[in-house]
Amino acid sequence: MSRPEIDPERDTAESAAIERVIAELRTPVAVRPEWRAEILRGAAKLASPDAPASRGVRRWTLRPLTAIAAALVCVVLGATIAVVVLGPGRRSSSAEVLANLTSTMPLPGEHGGQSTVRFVFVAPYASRVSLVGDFNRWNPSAMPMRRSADGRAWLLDVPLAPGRHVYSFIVDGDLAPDPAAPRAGDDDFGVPSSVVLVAGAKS
Amino acid sequence: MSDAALVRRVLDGDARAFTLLVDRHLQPCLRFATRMLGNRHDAEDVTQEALLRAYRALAKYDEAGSFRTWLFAILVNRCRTSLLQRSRYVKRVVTDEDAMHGATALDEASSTELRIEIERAVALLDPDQREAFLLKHVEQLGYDEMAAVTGAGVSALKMRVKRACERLQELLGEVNDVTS
Repeated sequence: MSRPEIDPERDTAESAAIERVIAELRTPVAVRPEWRAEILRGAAKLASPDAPASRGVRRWTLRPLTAIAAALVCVVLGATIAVVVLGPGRRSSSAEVLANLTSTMPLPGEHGGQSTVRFVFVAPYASRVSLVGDFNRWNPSAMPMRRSADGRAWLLDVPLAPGRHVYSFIVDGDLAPDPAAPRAGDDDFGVPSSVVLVAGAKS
Repeated sequence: MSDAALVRRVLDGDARAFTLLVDRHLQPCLRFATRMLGNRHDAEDVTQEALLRAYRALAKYDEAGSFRTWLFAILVNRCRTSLLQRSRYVKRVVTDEDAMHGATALDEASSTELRIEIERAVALLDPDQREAFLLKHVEQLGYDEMAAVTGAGVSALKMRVKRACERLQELLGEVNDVTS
């Protein structure tokens, strides 16, 4: 059955009710002068942000390094993708694999009855992210994640047995479920958590 | 003077330039946080925290991108954390009292019945949908900017905005059905 094409931008902007909601929500929120002053006092108490030495010059010296780093990352990613895509029995397209690198997913293949799941959390401004779940007894120090080469995401590959696993991330001390994964319906003790399903071995 | 030029001046030791940056972005940041959290007190806290974090990290700002996008990425993260902290202790239930409080906190001069219903409907949206809707339609970011701010893909964001609009229409339609 064919479905009409949806243009979300066009569809959503047409409703008069939504236009009214938008107009109401755009109403400016008054800024309290004493609160503004508090922010500025707070900034004044902080050490001045460190200016990169010779900002302009440094940019030029960083660019080739960034390019080299990006090239290395591309080589490593390319090799990984080649292994994943061209490995025996693999039918995934390279585009599919690339798309999956931005969210938590089981990687193809298995070892000793376990599959490797790549956990991904996009948090460019976090300074520390770790993974907790039923597979590590929710121990916050058991599985620190590593920052991706571009600095935007945090990654960790974990071998997991087939089945349903509940997990969450700890981002700078705060629990955060995986925004790209289904939420666990039975949030343990009110902890926001997500679910990853690992397929069983084919017999 | 552009935001990037102001950032350069702050990094060169001109503290007054940060005041200019704050005055330029404080109002939209506070508006987003207030609409997102539905609570003026929490909104002031997260906005203040986001601005001070931005100040500390100013040297990491890349002039190739928009300062507003960079700042909103920090703010959106602080809002998410605030919502998570809140949900750890209490499931958010929007009562009439909450809606009244949120609405009056937003703008005492215009606490109309319509505004109360709108605030109530917005509070009932899924946080991801509310976030996308506010960034798109209230703060008027482009989808590429939203993707940079939220870490989500453009098509996912478009779908969240669409779902938010549908849900809002549904919620406000219910209100109209009851009151008419």
